[in-house]
Amino acid sequence: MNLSSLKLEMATAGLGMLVLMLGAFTRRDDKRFLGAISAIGLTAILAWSVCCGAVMGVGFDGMWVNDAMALFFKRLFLIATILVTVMSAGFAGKIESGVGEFFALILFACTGMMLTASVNDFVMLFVSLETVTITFYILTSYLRRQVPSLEAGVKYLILGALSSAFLVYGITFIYGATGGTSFSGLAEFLKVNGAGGLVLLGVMLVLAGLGFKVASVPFHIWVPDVYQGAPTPVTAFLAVGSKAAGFALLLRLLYGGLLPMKATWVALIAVLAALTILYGNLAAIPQKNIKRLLGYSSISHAGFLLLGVAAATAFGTGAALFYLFAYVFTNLGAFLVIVCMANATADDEIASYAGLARRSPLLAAAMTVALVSLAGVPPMAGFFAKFLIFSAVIGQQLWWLAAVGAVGVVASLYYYLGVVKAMYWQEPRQEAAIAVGLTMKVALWFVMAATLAIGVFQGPVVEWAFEAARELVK
Amino acid sequence: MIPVVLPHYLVVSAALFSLGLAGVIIRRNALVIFMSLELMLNAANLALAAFSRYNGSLHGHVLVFFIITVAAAEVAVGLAIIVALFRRRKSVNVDELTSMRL
Amino acid sequence: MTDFPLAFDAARSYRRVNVSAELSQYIPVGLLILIAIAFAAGMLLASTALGQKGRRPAVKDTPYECGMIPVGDAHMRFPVKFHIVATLFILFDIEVVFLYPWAVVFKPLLKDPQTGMTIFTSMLTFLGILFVGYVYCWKKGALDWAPRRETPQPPA
Repeated sequence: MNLSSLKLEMATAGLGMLVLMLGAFTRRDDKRFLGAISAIGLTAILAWSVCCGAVMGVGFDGMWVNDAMALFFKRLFLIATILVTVMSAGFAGKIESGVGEFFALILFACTGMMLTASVNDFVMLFVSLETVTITFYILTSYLRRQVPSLEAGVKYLILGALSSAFLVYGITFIYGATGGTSFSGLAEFLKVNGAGGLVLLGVMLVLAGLGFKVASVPFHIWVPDVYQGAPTPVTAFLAVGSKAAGFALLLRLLYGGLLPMKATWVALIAVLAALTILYGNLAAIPQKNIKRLLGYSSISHAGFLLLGVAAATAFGTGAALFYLFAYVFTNLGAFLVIVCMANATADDEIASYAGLARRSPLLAAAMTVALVSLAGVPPMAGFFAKFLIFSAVIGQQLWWLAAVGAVGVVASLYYYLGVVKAMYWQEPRQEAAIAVGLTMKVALWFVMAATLAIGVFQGPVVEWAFEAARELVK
Repeated sequence: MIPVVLPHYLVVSAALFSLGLAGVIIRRNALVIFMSLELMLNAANLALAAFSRYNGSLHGHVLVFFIITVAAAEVAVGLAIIVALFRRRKSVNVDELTSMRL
Repeated sequence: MTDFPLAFDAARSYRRVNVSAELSQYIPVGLLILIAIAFAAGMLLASTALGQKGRRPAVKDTPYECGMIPVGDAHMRFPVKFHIVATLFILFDIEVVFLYPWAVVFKPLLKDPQTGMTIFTSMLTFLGILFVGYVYCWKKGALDWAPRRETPQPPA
């Protein structure tokens, strides 16, 4: 059997169950130690994946692929989950009950995301996607006495279930046409028969389902409300983990099953990318809530990632992978600051960030680094990521896409720097200094350092991302 | 007796899917919307079982099993969320979910 | 695959089979209906013949002796326990979806010890994960119908 290629996922799921059981059986009131256990366990799994836990190859009748790209995404998910766990420990004071389960659910979501990275079959695609989505339904509505969280949960539930219904119906048609559920079977079918009729309808429905996950434009309506209402660590995890999982599936599908109809999907993704960039950046400008702002910003980043996919070369895919890697640190940095701020000011209004530099220089600096990197200003990680994406797009002579991207970057500078301006050049509402716990301080320093380091010494990460991309785009 | 063949199943399945979609779009009660969503999933199940028989392969049945399981998990989670919302708001009308605005 | 005449086989063999043979496949269904009617009637008869007459408080005549009162306003409040039990029922009921096909193929697959061991351990893992969930709801008191006994006492 090829169970050994599932080692990392099994370890993560086991860790989740361990945390769940410990949470149920310990009598301690403060369950934050479970966060420490999760973070240490995840770090161990990450180390294991680097040294010896990664078994490469194809398994389970071709349903499961462990290649360089799968490993890239798995490590990305592990890193993101570690940071989100640390963030949740800082957020735990706001959760009324079920802190232990919160950490366990984050680990289960992480398991689902790691599964998405290796998917090579529609059954696997559906199951891994739903593992992530259903866990996020619970996490989104976790503050069950607060109306915004519940509203966000109901909205995510209805729109998420709708997108899974479309996805499943699409898979049904693909299965009906090709007689199987594997990506390779679909590719062979398309090679022989071309895309048309039933199978084309199915592919479109599946792409719509994935578009919902990555928050691309016609399927983005859930994003602002869910991002604003969900508990902050969950918003961060949605923005980073769930989106990356959607991209992992999208890349697997586009280069696995849909390679024969590449010309069609390149055009489709290019149009979606342009719409997503324009909508995300323009709609972000008037926002007054920082989480909602980052929600729109996450739509726009989905657009930039789709630009890399639309370039449809190993270079473009590698650029998208690097972008995701930079985005994890950058975006989680911003959300770490939001968690610290919410503990102090009890709201997420941008107006509360006025004069933050005087109240807490560390928080203001961390937020500035994150926002400047999100905007794509050198020398941050975000700059180099955007640079790679644009070179990939221009390399394919997609001038109009590059122009749309440039408009998006300029618009984004306005709203990102608006927050920076408020933090440094506006009078604070109150002067009281904001206390930041030691764990959060360490996490903030680490994320700032990583954002800068990836921007300045891009070499190893670029190489790693491009190696993964080259293996996918043969 | 008219033989029941693949297109019949597909027509019924498409009808169920459309009914579910119409329910999601038209109805305002979160519970009814949720029910309509389950109908859409089951429309896919019917089509999958029919295709499975037609193709003579079992993959479709396997997927049906997973869809049933996922739908059950979704129901368990979804109903809990809707009940929790009702306890706060005394209403499950989706038009009233407006606490978050610009 | 299977011998049971499903719709597609029926459609394929439509022209060749005469009507009586086609109808004869429904004999088991007819038998089942007859047995069901006989069973229900028998139970009613037996309870009138053997039951104790005269000891009939009003509650005995309600459709459900325990549970909800069936007549009245539909918007009544009822304990959330019903919801929890129903949810747990759905979740643990669904495991049968995987157990049943597994049980069907288990015996033939046992011939090869390697495969037999594999499918045995995979089902064991599946049930083990379910068991973790079960222990969790047990520990959390979701299975207690009465209020939990170990409610924290207010400090004296």
